[in-house]
Amino acid sequence: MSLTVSRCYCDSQVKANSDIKANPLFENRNPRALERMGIARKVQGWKFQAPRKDFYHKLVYDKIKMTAYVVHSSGKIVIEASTKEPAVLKYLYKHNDVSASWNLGQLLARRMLESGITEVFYDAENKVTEYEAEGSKPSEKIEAFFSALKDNAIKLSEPEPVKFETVPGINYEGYTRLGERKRYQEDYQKL
Amino acid sequence: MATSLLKNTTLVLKRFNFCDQVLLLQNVRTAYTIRHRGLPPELAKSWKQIKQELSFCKEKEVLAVNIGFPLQDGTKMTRTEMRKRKQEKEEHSKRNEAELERKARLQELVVPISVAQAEGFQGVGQRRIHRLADHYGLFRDLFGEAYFYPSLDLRVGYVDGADPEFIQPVYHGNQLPPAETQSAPEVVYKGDADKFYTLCMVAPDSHLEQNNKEYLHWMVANIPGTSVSEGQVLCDYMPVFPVHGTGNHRYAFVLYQHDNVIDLSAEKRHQERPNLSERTFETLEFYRRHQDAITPVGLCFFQAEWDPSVRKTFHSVL
Repeated sequence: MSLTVSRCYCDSQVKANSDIKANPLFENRNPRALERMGIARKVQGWKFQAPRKDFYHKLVYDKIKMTAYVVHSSGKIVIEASTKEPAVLKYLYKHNDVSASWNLGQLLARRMLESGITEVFYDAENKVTEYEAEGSKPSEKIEAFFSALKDNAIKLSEPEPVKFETVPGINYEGYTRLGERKRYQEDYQKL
Repeated sequence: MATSLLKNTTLVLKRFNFCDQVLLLQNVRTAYTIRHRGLPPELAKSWKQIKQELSFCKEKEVLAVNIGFPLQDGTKMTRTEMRKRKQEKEEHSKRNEAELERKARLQELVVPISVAQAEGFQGVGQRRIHRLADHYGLFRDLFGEAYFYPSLDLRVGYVDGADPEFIQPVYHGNQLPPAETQSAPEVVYKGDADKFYTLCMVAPDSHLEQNNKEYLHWMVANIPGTSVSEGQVLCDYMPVFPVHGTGNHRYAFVLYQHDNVIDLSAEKRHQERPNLSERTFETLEFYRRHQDAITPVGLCFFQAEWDPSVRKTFHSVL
């Protein structure tokens, strides 16, 4: 196949497709690629602190301000939805009633689907606010919001982290070794 | 001070406060001494210099540049725009409150989301697209330090060959299977009829040899107004090929606006089977060459992961 590239700005060394050798250090620069696969690092080490920090994207729903947003662990707000937006408010009766809450859920879900972030972390265990405390009457607004998200196939848990094969040096899960003889054992770390 | 060594000086250890444990060499005859601490004024550093050295901030960060049109989010309005907004507010208050209240009470009130989003493009929508593009690292990988707020609502959709009714739209980051990206998509936007536009489809993650380059999948130049079919196709559409095992690759459509026709014949790629090394592209370099004429106005992107159609692409198309 003859190639005439006299006027092209591209690389002067043009080679046939079959001569291309893939880069052994191929890098996918997409910062969200590893998160989707469940391989990206999460913020670890804050196990006994609340609110939890081990997530990629977190869902936050503010019942009083009537905004819902998705935050990344770095602190950046990625997707935001509010019933106070003029384009949305003009179709609503009130910005903070139950139907507005449902519509807010629909709006946020639509934006999440458009942006490709459909699996987010929602901290259902560490509920700090009183209206979400155990034993209290379920709020219609909250139920409406989450039912809207569920209808749009938004998952409130992130992808399972990939567990890589570990080759432990010492078998910590076995029986206690305190009474063992001082002799080299097979499951010690191989040097 | 080392310079004050004299022949007849004696070492005098005086009782100073706890922190001060300096040995002073001084002439014993004088009772009142001038204490010199630290370096002489010619050599000593000023507080500003010390602060600079001690501060741990990096070198001055390069300020990001907005290469698109300025954001119009309603904070600065002309008189006509203010009048229009006042009218809208009056209409809003006159609307059928009773009907809305009834619907809200019975929870039948449904906001038409696609309409609302299209209406809210100026301001809220622009910021949303900018934020997402930033989050996906598109500005960093395509333009480096520059960014832009999309001033046009660029709508791109892949039409399924089998079922022409169904369109798979491209928003800002949604996942598409490569099987649906085999043919060139439909592009719609509300543009100026007097201006010209150039559309580029670019893949920043897919380059097989160099990590910092992109592949040019599609390029249509000098589109008069909004009729994309009348533009010059400089680069034939090439289907998407995210390599297996490398995760999600991003594919971005960037629309540039320019007042006059630009000679982009140097960007022309061959019409036959696409040659990948020829399709190597760098958006920043392209923009720099034509930055006086073009402004980026539209942005759309999707993600794609490997699926069996990619294998077919490798065997037959490339």
